[in-house]
Amino acid sequence: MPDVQVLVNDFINKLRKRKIEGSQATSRQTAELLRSVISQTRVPYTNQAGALIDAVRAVGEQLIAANPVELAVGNIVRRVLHIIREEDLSLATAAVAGLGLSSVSDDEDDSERDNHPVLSAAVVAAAARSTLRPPSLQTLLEDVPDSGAVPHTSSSGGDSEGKSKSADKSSRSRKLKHDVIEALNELIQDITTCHELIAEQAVEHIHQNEVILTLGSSRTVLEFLCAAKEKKRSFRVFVAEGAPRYQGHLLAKDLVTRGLQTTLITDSAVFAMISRVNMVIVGAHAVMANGGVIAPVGLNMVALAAQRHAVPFVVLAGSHKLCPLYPHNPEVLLNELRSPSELLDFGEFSDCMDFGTGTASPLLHVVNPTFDYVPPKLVSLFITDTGGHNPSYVYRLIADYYSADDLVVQRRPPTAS
Amino acid sequence: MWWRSASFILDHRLQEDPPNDIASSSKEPDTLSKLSPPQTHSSFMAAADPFNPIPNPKISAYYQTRAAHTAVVTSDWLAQAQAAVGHHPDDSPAPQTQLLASPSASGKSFCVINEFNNWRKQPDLAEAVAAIRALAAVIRASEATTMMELEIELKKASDSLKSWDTTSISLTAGCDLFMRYVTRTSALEYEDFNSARSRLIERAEKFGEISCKARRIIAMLSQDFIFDGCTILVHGFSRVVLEVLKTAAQNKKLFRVFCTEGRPDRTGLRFSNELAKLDVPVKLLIDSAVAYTMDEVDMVFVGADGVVESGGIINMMGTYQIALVAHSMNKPVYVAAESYKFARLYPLDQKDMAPALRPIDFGVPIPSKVEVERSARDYTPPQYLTLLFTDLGVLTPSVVSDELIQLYL
Amino acid sequence: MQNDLPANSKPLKERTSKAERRALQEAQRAAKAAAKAEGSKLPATTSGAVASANVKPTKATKPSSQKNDSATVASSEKKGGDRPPEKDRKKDAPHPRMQYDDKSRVEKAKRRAVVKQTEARNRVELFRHLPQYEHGTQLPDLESKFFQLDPVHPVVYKVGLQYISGDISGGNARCIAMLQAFQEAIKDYSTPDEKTLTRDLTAKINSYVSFLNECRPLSISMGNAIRFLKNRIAKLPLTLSESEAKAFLQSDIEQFISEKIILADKVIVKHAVTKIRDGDVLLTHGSSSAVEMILLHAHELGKQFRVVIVDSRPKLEGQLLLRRLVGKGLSCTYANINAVSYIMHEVTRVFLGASSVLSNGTVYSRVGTACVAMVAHEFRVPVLVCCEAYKFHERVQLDSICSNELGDPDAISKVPGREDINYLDGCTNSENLQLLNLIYDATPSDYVSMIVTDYGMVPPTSVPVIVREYCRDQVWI
Repeated sequence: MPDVQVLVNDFINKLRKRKIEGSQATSRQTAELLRSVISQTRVPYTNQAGALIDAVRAVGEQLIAANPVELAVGNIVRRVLHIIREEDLSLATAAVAGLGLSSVSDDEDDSERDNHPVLSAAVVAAAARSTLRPPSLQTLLEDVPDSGAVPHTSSSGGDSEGKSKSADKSSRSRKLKHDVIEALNELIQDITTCHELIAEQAVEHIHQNEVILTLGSSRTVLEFLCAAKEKKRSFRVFVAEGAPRYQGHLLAKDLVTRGLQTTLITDSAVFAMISRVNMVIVGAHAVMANGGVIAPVGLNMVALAAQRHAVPFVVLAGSHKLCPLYPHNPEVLLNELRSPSELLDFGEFSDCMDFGTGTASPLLHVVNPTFDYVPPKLVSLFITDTGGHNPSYVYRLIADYYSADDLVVQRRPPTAS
Repeated sequence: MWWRSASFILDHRLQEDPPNDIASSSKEPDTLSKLSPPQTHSSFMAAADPFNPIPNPKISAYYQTRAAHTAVVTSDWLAQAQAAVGHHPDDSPAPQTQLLASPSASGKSFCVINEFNNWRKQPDLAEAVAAIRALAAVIRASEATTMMELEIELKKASDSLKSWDTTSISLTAGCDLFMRYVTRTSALEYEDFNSARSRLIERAEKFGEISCKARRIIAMLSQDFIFDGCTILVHGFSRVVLEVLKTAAQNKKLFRVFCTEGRPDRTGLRFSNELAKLDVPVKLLIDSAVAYTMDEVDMVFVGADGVVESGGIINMMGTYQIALVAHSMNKPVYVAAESYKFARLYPLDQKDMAPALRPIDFGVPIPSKVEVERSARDYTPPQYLTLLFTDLGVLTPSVVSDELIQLYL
Repeated sequence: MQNDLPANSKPLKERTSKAERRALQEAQRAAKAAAKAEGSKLPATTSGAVASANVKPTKATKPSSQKNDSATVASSEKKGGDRPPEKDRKKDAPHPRMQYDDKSRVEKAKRRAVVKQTEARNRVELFRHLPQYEHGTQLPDLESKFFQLDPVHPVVYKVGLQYISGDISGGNARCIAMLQAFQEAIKDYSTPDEKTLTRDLTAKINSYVSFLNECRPLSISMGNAIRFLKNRIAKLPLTLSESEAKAFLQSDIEQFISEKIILADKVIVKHAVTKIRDGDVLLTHGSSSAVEMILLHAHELGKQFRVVIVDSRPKLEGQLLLRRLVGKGLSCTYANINAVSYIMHEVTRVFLGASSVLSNGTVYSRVGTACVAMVAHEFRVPVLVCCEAYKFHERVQLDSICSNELGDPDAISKVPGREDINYLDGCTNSENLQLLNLIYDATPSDYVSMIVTDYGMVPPTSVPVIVREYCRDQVWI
């Protein structure tokens, strides 16, 4: 599939160079790319799902490696894998009534411990799970394949040999691919329309004469606010500028052109102003499985200030931003330091910053992170395209969108070959 | 004075014990699960006499198990232990074993409580596992001919087991879990009675394995949360937490552990001992030094006796205050607990659960007018817990209720 | 602009001993009478000058408002003074400040103002009560008026211009510049015929103060300094000759500067340095002269530590501090205020400066301070506020909105050095867009672990104690 490879490489380059910004654009393009990967993958007669999963996984691995901080890529890859599994499962159940999920074997195993990037917690979770459903107390006592036996046997072959026992495979294979692509189209559709769905809920949350604070710029937030405005609600928006990227200026401009009462403030004035604010509405970079949020830098401060004044802190996030991983040390591991030039004029400080000239450590360091981690206890509400949710319920949304086996997209080194 | 003797006995026991385990397990690695309860090390315990399961009603059975398994160093225990050292452990239990093994034959005299008591004496066996095995033994001994009868019989057994020791949460949880499996598993309905029965027995016996596997999974799950250079505060002796730290040490992670002393059981001493064996740097704290050291701590790791509906945990006395301190200083509190410890309980406060009493030795005589708080554990509400590591994955406290609702409603 | 401290000076006045109060009363009564008599003669500007720190409009709210301004000053002072001491306490409450949403008062104030401010186009609704003016327009205008403004002494005038242009900024620098200007003015002062020095000089000072306040709202610390000066004038022994009195006042000012500001800073440095250990990571926000001295002193003592400078728009004062510290060889990390949660993990102490500390423990300081203190509090990092005791004030404040200063809104829409950030070009005139440039914010006292003052290290709860003790102290100087 040479064409696809070109596309993939192209996309990887863009990700590496951070040419694609915003999780929405990224996830849409990822989904589209994976769609072409799937449509070009030749499916063998047996184990079609396995082949697709392998193909997607191989590409997904590269994509994730290209920009590990853009969690949306990984999310979409996992969603696609989940879609394949689900479609396969529904076909299998349709084909052979009574053939349950029980025979789906398990691709990951405990021997992953040498391979421990951010994701490896998930590996083991996957080990514990043997079906598409996450493990639960219900299944604790039920038969599970002996995990000791599984380890290396099925890894490269994919994990659905068991399922492919069904009768007429040739028709199924075509059908599977077709179904998967259908589902993918739906996914892409969902991603593109997610802010509309989110914005529809705006009137339920924004009332007359409210004062709303936001930081930085998010398309979802813009649509959300405008949706409320269209419903003839008049309210005021404080926009913190979000230095050093000053995306807030952009948002302020958009809001002003759409006729909203907008006040632009500096980030440092957030604490001063929050006491007069009724609600903080912000976008997110990613929502983690514990309900924590990876958000543009500065939002932790805003969330703390909101908590202090008991102002609801509402996060708008499309479901493509739900990430099934638990953050550990997110400030460091899921962050990206941007160029110091956004903060300081190089010319002025060139003598203090010495870049690799080999002398002793320079006196001046500049820290310019991209993201903040907002812990779940500071978030009052998530508004997603499926409605409003508490941070404590995010685990469940995630269980709906991802299957446990896919938490780790990266394969073990031996199988990667 | 008795300090020295305590450690002496501890060491002695440590030397003595492993061979025992190995002996019993190598003797009958398979029969262990199929046949009768293993030989007991009952001489360690006051509860050794199977026909008088609660010899000292002031000490909860739950606590006795704990004491036996975590080598609690109490004067009580010392007395028993000293007595035990006197004779070879293998000698005395033998007749008892016979006695206990017989119930399957002599049907009527079978007593689920005795069965359970014998199982729980195995140091590596969780209480829930013991409970489920005891219930399996009930099935084996049962003369029922239909599923219905069997269920009724099991129900009776599990009820008596539960009422025998109301203080043990994992006992209750284990019984409930198994009963739920028996009554709700659809597969059983399609099979004839005999195969269903043997399937039940087989699953029950596998449960020990499930429990071990659960510990391993939890250990693996928690690895990412232990980063190099971190300091972990541990309270109580939890096999799961030990497994977690062991795995971390094997993974060459660099970390140090603060162990609370765990008065009056001194569980922390035993725990630090175990860690020292793994070459993990350990520091022992007296229980009251928790707040003082919390600044240096990066995370708190505790086990749990039971995880309740709210997502909170019931655990060894002191967990609550450690969680409070950690919460107020913004340190994460991680709980490692196997999912079969999830129990349909919902304590509202500390007094809202059956207290598990324990003896407390203050080293000096306490005047009879002075009251002593002897409860062995406390309840930690979910808002003070950060994450639960279970074999179902890493969970926020809110998931516990979800799982329980799915299982029991 | 002028609302900042309108009222502050008055309340403090009342803190004097009985005897002193009596004396004061006498003086004030006399002053009042004189003022009334002369009211009409005074040039408009002078009359505008009024009260210690501020604007007459403030007084307007009081019953006495009908009187002309200089009278008001006196009357307000008198209020404190006349009352029997027992009742003092009740009446101590600071004056309401000028509220700029009160149209008639604003009109009055405008008519009297020297500095003609243009109102900002899009005023922020929430801050109607604060003056919101166009920036940068007054400067040329004022400069051209230089020779027509005889009531204002040229030195004072120069300082005023420096305030407007921002050449002098920072609480201590502004205060010292003002006091030195007054010193000059006093040196050149000569009592007109048929007037007494006490009365006339007070009026003069009032007019200067009013002028300066129009250039840029005075800070609370400056209000305190002015109050001190007026106290001294009022209490001048009547027996002194004019030249003696002038020398007396000049040395008083000198003493105030050296004792209350310069020496105080040295003491603060001495205290604060004891809290710096080797290996510490110290975070500071913006640029505070006290904190800078502390850091430099600790460095001179050979302590090994790292400094994190958190900076915020629009002033970016941290860059200047960064330059100076790096120049002295300190190891620094520079971050934007948004990154404060990111950097706070490694920080062991937070040192903050303050514009003023209010008696409920609130720290009134450069905008952003509250954010930094909040995050530090969240991460359990101790927050040390370094503030000279002359900046303490008995007023209380709960939020940053009731009283604040608004800077130039255009500084918000433009990002110097980042020409790519030009999204707002062209829509700054849209009536839907308001730009808010807050200068100060109020940090709640529970975020502050310790306040380092020249009286030692005190908890924020002890601020009223210092205010109480200090005010007595001030009279003794």
